[in-house]
Amino acid sequence: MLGCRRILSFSFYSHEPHALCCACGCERRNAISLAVFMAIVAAGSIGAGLLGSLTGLGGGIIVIPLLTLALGVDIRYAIGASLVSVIATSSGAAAAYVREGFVNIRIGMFLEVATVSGALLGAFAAAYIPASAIAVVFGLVLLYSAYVGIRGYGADNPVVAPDNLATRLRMNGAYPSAGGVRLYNVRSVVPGMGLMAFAGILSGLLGIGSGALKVIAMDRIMKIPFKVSTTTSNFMIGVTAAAGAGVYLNRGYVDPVVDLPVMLGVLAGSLVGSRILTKARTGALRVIFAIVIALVGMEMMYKGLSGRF
Amino acid sequence: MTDKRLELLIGATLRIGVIAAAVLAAVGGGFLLFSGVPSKPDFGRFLGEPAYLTTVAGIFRSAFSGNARGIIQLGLVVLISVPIVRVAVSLAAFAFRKDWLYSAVTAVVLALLVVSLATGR
Repeated sequence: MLGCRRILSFSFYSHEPHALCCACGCERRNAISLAVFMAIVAAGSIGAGLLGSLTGLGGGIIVIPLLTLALGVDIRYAIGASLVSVIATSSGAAAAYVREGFVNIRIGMFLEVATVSGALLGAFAAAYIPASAIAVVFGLVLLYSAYVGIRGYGADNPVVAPDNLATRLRMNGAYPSAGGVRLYNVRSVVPGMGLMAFAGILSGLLGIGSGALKVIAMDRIMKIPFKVSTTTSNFMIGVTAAAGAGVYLNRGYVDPVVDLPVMLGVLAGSLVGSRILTKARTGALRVIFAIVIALVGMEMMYKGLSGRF
Repeated sequence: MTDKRLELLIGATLRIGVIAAAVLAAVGGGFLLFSGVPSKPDFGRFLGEPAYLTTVAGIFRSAFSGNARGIIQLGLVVLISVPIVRVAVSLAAFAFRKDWLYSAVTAVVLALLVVSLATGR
């Protein structure tokens, strides 16, 4: 795409810059050029943004393995990239979802109190609690939720009777669907907050976005329609991530060359994803979500049990 | 301000922030790829980042002096600030419509965010 320009390439195996000239008959060394590296990351990030915007997760589950396993990037740069990915998925997708009326802003703001508090707590406690134990517990929670999710294939939450607290907090709402605007009521606000705080603590401890638990809490405990749960989760995860981003920036985890394609790719993916979600069947979204969290759950358990945390 | 208007306001805030961040980063990326500036990046080892890419002041300075990486990093900083700006805008909107309950809720979130960034957690 850049024709015969001189692109300074860098090798993961040596530290010397090579001149890489594509169409001029020069020898292609055993190196990846800057442009190719960025293109690979961008392609993977598009997938991450797409998946993240459909499931309410942050995209880090694709970005981190792509960078660390496929491209040999150090985990700390990958963590910075994951952070960027979460914020990009969140902001990119939520921009559309809020305008379309899917996001329940009040629930999001209310739950954010719990999730950001939890993140602060988790960050402080990180020194005292073994991350591997937490990872295993988290993995188990996800696997259980995946199992329950698969069993409930196709069924969205039925409309429940209004709950006193939720009504007083004006949390009940409506969302657009194929059959017109659908009203819904919210239940179990306090238990929902509790799980949100737990999700925040996990986020602070493990450093990963807690989108999965947010969706599970809203969907299973608060009985909110699935599309509202995932879109509201998208709305929220950016805030939790932004809370930690300043620190990671200062520590040098955020690299412009790595994160530029991540940001642009994720934004593009979430743009596409937000268009798809409005038309997708809830049952299909639930299955995708269940599969993704099953994979993440297994990864968490593996990492926790093998002490890789 | 009706609910619909609140949604449009927040949606617009997010959109503008994201576009600004993306444009900045893309411009920086263009400079980087087409200027042929020599670099020795090696992401296999964690070397951190130079100071002009890790502090906000440094990033602004390097971006305005035309440094490609600085411009990209500025775009990333703008992206990171989008959720925070969104919370601030929501606070203003809730206060404007005299929704004291949610103004308080939003203010708490904003305060927690500031604490979190300030204590460098």
